[in-house]
Amino acid sequence: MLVLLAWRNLWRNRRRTIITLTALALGVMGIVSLQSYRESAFAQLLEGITTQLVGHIQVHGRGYQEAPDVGNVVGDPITVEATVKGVLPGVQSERRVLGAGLIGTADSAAGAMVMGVEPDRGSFTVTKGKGLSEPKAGQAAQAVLGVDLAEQLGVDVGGEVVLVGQALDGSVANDRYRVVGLADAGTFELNATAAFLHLADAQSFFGLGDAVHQLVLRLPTDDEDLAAPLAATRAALDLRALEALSWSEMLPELKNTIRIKRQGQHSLGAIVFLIVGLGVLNIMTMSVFERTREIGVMLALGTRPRRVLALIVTESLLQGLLGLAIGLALSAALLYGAGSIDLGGLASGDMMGIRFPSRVELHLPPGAAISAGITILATMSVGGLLPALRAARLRPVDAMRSR
Amino acid sequence: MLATLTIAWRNLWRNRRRTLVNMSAIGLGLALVVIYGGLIARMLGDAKGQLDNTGLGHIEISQEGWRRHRSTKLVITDADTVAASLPLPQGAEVSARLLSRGLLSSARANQAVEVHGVDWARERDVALYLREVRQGTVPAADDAHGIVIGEQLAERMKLQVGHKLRLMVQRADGEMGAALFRVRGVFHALTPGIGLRRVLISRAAAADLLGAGGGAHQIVVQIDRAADAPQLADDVRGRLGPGFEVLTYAQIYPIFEAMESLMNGAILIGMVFVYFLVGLGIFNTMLMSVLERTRELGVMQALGTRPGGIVRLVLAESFWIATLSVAFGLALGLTFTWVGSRRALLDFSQQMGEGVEFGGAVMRSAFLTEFSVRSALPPALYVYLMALVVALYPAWRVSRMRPVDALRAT
Repeated sequence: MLVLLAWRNLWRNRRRTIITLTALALGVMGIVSLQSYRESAFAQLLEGITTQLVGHIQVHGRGYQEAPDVGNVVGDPITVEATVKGVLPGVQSERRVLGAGLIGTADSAAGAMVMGVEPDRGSFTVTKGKGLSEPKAGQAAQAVLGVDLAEQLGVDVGGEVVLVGQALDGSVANDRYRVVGLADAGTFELNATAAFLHLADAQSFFGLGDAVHQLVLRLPTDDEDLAAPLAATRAALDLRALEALSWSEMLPELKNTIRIKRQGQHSLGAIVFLIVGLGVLNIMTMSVFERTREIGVMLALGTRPRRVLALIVTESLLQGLLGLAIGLALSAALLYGAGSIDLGGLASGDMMGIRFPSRVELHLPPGAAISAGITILATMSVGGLLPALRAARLRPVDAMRSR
Repeated sequence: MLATLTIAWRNLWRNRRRTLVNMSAIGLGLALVVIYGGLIARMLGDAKGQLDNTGLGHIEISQEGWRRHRSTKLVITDADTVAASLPLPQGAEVSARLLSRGLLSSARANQAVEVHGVDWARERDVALYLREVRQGTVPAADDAHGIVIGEQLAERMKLQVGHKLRLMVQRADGEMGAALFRVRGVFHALTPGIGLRRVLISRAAAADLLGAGGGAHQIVVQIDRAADAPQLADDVRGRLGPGFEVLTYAQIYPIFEAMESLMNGAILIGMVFVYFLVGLGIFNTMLMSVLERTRELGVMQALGTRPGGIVRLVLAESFWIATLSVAFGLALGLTFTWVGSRRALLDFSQQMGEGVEFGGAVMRSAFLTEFSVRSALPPALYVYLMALVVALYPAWRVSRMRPVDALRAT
């Protein structure tokens, strides 16, 4: 009944309602689209991190993250892998060796981050040539180089590189490799420094035996919160010898950057809705003012002040809901209509060592819609409440006498 | 005209609350645009002006072809003579470097590093981090075994002043060469990218290690005004002739330009969005205020005011609203940007670390704003324009009414 009355009242001044709705819908659309873009970009960024190089969780020798010493290893990776698979169903794990070396051709050399990886686990994306394959006797050992490293060294697929480094026992390690492919490793830093070898080749280069430095765990989830699997992993491992870390613990600056961007989003939203809210306050005040006489009659006929208050707040909230619905529909049309956005020129943008995706697939996350909904309903309640209070406090006699 | 403005001013205060609310909404929108613009202008300015943070030059000179593969052989042999002959403006700072990429090893750990062979005194002028040696000192000029490393590298490899390190590089003749160094100083860098990857030795020691003879791979020049860089690069190219590659920072790091266009795009979208909301607000208010006075305006027309006069009156009211809003918005926006130019209102150094690296540019993560009255004027002007444009419809509508009908309206 109240809602019906409020609804009819709205359409008594059609133009005013339409203008209000336009402002509300635009506000919602701007904020929701921006937030959706951000969240889509974050989701994609995190997917890249977790499915590729970093993984969701990593297991190392205790203290390795703090100071990556070549000698700090997971000595029995197969057993650890089995333990972890027991507590994390569906997990995919990859053993990895990490070291540094000087990689060179006859003409040029560079310090390189040497990564011994298991083939085809998605640690990198091959951009030219092939990925690594299982080593065969009598065949040259294989290497896949970061694209920028290869460019700097002036070497291409089919070329040969020499790797010089230091083995675990302190002796100088020295080997030749055939470049079978070039790779995008996900960050500029790595593209310029990473040399990927087969795990077995890297283990023999550094004299590690069966030991590895990292067990990279990739979970079948896209949940940002990894507290539960992390706790399960830690409970299953011997933490005196090992450590288990989530991606956000390994990349704390990235986690913080995302948090700050989200906060920035919220303050921008607050300001936009403050502007919208002041507009609504004006409009509702005017709409009440216009109907002073009518409200006086209602009060004189026995309508309780509380009901007048409720009527006006309902009018305000109805507009809010309608504006929200239109705004969300427009956002969805905009986001899914565009499908994806390509920032092209900023593809070279690299923040905190992590490359932000240049092409973002757009989605409308429920969180964005919900927070816009809460904000707009709060704005509309406040914007409607002030004039409503005024109307409810009118003395019928004075009100009916006005104009 | 003056009379119209006076009447309009009085009309404004007949509904005081509406005027004040409307004014704060518009003023807030304007302030938002001014503050956002100031923040971004300062960010861009800092990124360009403070190449010092990363030791980049506004222009960088190298032997033709060196940049491609950084081949150790391609040195500018008479680098000091070249550096001295450059047509540089007052206050320019110049440093010549031998550069190499190598492997740094301690007893247990290895790290891929970028080796800078520098003249300590000159390098201090162009690289902030060398002025921020927090432990130990910068080595003496004749110290052939001194090395300066970053805090992050020291942390990662558990190194302290006095520790011994082996540095392995490829020599100019293609063979691998190595030498022992001792940590003399540990510097503080704004970002881990530099603190972890960059190590500095003297140019003489580098020449020895690389077998490169004298000279330098790169001469970097920093100047006071980033905008002069392209002109300076042209002058230097003219002076040096062929055989040299002279590039500006923007050519080496396209991020600077990309960032500028992205930021400007973001400002534009933000401005359009805010102004649209503000415009709707003014439109609505003016329309209401005019329709509410239909009868009064009818009386004016019946008493001989021409439709043009009514239009002028409504526009004058809109003008006053715009004036008040602009005054409020500018006061708010300029206060914020002024305070923000002195101390950072947005300080993320706790969460993000002291510096933020973005594609080669490094900015402090305590963001200041630029205080500029001049760049606040265009947004203010747009508010005026919009106020006048959106008031046209209500003005036209009410002036078109027949006095008889208008008088009959309630």
